[in-house]
Amino acid sequence: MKKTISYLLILVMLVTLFTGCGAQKDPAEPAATPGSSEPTGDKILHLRKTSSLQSTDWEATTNTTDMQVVWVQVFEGLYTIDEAKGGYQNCLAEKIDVSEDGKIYTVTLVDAKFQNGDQMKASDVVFSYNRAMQNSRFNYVTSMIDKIEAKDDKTVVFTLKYPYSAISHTFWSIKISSEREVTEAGDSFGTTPHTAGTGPYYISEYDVASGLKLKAFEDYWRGPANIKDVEYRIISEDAAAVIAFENGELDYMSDAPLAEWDSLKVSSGENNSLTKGNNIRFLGINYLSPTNNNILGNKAVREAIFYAINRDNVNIAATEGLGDPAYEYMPHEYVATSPSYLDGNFELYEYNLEKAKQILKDAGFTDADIAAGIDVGTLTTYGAGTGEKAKQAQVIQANLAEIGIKCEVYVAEAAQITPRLYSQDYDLCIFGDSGNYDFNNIRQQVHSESTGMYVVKYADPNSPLDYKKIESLVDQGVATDDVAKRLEIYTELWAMVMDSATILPLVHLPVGIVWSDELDPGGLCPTYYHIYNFKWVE
Amino acid sequence: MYRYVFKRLLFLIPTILGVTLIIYAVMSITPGDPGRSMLGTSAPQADVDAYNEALGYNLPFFQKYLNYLIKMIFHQDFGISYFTKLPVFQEIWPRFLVTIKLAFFGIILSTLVGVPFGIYAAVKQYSAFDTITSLVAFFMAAFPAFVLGLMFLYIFALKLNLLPSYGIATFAHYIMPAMAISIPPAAQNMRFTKSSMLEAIRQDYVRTARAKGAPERTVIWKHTLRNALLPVVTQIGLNLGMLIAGAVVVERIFSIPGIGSLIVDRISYKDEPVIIAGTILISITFTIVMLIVDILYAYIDPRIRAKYAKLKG
Amino acid sequence: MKNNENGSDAILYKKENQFKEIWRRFRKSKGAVIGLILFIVIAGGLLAADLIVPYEKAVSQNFGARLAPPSMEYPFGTDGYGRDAFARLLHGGRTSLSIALLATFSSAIIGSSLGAIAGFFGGKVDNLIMRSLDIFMSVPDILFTMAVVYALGPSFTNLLIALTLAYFTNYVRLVRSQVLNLAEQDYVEAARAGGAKNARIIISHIIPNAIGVIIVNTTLNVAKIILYESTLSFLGLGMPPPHPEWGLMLAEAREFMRTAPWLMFFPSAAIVFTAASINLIGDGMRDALDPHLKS
Repeated sequence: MKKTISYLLILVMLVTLFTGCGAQKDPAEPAATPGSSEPTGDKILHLRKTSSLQSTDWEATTNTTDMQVVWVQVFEGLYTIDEAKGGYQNCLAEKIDVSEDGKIYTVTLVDAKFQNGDQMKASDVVFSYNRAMQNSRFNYVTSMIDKIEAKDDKTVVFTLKYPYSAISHTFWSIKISSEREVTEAGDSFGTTPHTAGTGPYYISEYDVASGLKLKAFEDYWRGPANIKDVEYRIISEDAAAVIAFENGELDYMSDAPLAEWDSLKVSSGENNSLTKGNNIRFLGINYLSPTNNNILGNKAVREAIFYAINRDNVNIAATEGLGDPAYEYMPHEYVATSPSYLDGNFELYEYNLEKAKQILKDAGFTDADIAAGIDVGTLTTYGAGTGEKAKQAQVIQANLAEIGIKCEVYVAEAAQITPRLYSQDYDLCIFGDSGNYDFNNIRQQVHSESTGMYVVKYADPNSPLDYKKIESLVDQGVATDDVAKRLEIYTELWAMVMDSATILPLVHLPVGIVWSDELDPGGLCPTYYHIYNFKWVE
Repeated sequence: MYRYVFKRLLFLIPTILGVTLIIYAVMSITPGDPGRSMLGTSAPQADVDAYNEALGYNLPFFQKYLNYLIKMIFHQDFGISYFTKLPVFQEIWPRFLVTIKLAFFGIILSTLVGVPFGIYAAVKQYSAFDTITSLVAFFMAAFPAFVLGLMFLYIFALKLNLLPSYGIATFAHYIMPAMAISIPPAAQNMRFTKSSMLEAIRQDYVRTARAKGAPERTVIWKHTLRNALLPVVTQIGLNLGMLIAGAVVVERIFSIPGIGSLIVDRISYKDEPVIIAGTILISITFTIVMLIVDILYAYIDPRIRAKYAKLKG
Repeated sequence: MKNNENGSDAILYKKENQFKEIWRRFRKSKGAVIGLILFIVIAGGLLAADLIVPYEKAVSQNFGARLAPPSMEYPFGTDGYGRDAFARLLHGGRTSLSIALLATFSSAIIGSSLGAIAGFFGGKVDNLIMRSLDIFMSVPDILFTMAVVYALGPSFTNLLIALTLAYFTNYVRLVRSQVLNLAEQDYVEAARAGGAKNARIIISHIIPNAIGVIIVNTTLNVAKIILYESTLSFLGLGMPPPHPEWGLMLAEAREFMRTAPWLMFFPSAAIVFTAASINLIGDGMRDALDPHLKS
């Protein structure tokens, strides 16, 4: 009797354990053994992903690493971004006609099929835009749209509330999905592999545990892709990713770990590129913060803080010195409407300790104050505790200590910090912006209608700048078509922002890309690479 | 004996309820806002409020907890992940199996290494073997699993290029992480086995057996081992806690899609449903393993059995 | 061992003798002595950290000497900000050790009191405490501390709370079983018969007699907590930057695994040696307090 119990117990234990093992075997099976090389014919392209995919629905992906897959390979918009060729390009829109008053856009669609075989029709475009417009996350790119109508199967007419010259970003951001498939899937859309996109690849396997695989869509409207099978390998640890690349287990790695860049450069031979990214980090100062009797409301203190920051050291700590110190809201090389710092039209706050100290002295701070340390509260940022933003925070903390300003550093998860930044519940912060190719993006930082997006709130009676003027400049800029005129408007706008000493560009993050000898990655794109353009070297 | 098993099984219910309550309560300390998490920072407040209302987030704590419990028990419904919008159970289960597999390898390794070494060290007490292994065990027990993980990554993957450094595709992928998590418990097992053996060797019946002239081998195998290994069974069960602690970090270092790395990942997204459910699932497993160990122990150990029988009258 | 005397002088005398005896036995164990010496060196270094190298050096950045290998100027090299790794190790150890000591101390007090109460009163109180304890112990320590730190946010105090909550359970069982043994001893009966109050009996009779076990356990716990604390800070749930901490130093060092491996080596060694030395001491103490195992 007693024996039976013990046997039973042991059996239960073993069964639970072995079913655990057995069930896991299946997804693991198809994975290639590391290091082995397959014949070139249907070779699988291996890429790195740092974490598993959040969703297969483009609307629900929030990480850049997820968007790199879903926004480019699987779905397409009316426009695409090709950073290799400098910005927005037509994609599902064959041509776009704009009316005289700049309010009516008539879009002629290309002849494309969804991955499920359905023809893409104007009604799908209308459906996709309407769906996105219900999602508040996309308000910032859709709020100017009054209505969208399908004129016929191949033509869509957008009517805007007001002329809006930055519409390219909308055309890129909103992806077209199959009305039939999305409607049929209902709430479960995004949680499973689907064929609702028009992109060159569809997701063939999406399993939280085993990873992510793509297959080429043979009926793709530009013709099928060269590389038929793509597999993303989930590697969270940078060191492991570098080892994997060196062992030939990865064919292409963007956002290569910068601390390992030197050895990657060696191991990749000629196959590496380091680009100035369109991704900038800023220091924001909340002039409304009540900390220490609203000390940050004092413009002199803010200016002293800005002059005390050594961007070169920030750059070294955050990017191993591979990035560039930033002085602009967007890199002027990439964005035609972005004012260049080389023209000397706005304040740059170049590192100048003496000046910083002098400003504090002139503002009435005594040597005793400085010796005791002027408390400006907490420098908040988000991301990993050892991440690039946390590193910048530590450098800035040390920089400020040099002129007798002291602050605590607080780093926590983005999900916890960003809502605080957007509700101005901070003293100093480091935040990221951009990845956009139109200067109108600044609307989200300075316009009072962009609640929940700006870090510094300008629309306030104590505002350090004429916020009504700023908002009218934003509106004016977007209503203007001429690039030179827009540049002029934005120069004035940015000069005002810089003069208020509230937002300081710190550093352009570089993007390191390495690839294997067997791969020809076509034109290189720092962020949104197109696997469609990749080829195996014969 | 059946009554004992039954009673222990019955006690599983309040334990699981209690565990759920503790974790749910701890996680409720943070001012969360599921609506905000699900809808994004730019969503209008009205939408967020409506979402929270529909979710029952504004209910009093105990009502919320009760709802959670009912859904969990009767529908295996742990809610929807804030991050992926997938049902939490669907996300957790495959990863849970991975972690169990890793922990299983860990238990096997730590037992196979720790116990024999411990026995031998006890038998050869004060020998060079004993001194060296004991000292090594002391240091090994002082290694946190993540230090071992990083060390192995550096030595076996980076310098020697012997073992794969990420994922779970083949058996070889499990070697480094399983080693990293099992070395500290192996060292502990060794020390524990040794002292348990030493204690057994000193028992009267062993002395008697020796005095009677039984060969040393028989004394050790027949008389000592069985008694010495009894407490070791419990120790192996307790190891599971250590193995899980190791797995949480080691899974991350070796990019293993297990429940530990999932929890750590989702902490950065404030994905509370997943964090709560993952913690509960591991705790329940832990409880069940401890229960099995307890019952096994009670079954094997005649003393406890007798004591229990006496108590029950 | 029975103790029938009630006069305080006699107890004092007896204690002194006991300590001598324990110390004599402790000294006999080579491992324990090595551990003690090692620990004295480490703890001494940490205590005198300010004299050896000022805290300023642990946080001041020098980008000219970034990722420098160990040298006379920087015995353990410099990190990604050009900060002196040696200074960071010393000052970081202070944080780690003080959290570990404080957490052990507070969990010992809370756990021992609960254990004493459970054991002394028995019945319903005992049942309630022990059943809730079973529940507490069902959550693996690491997950529990992670959940608490996550919920409260990472800081010195919150780490302390989390670790205390995770570790007090050990003491409850331990002290309870001691108390159950002791409560039946004659002198406690005598005190009870003499009309002493419960609290007084616990404080003046039971706790002092259970102290040996508590001390051994406390020692071993310090080592465990050091390991857990470094794990937490490795996961980013430790102290906020730029305060040095061993686990954090390792987390920061891993990206330089290839270019500056020494940055990983020294904090690892520090964690392992500290924990091992404390374990050795604890083990020696257990043997010294429990002589039947040794002879």
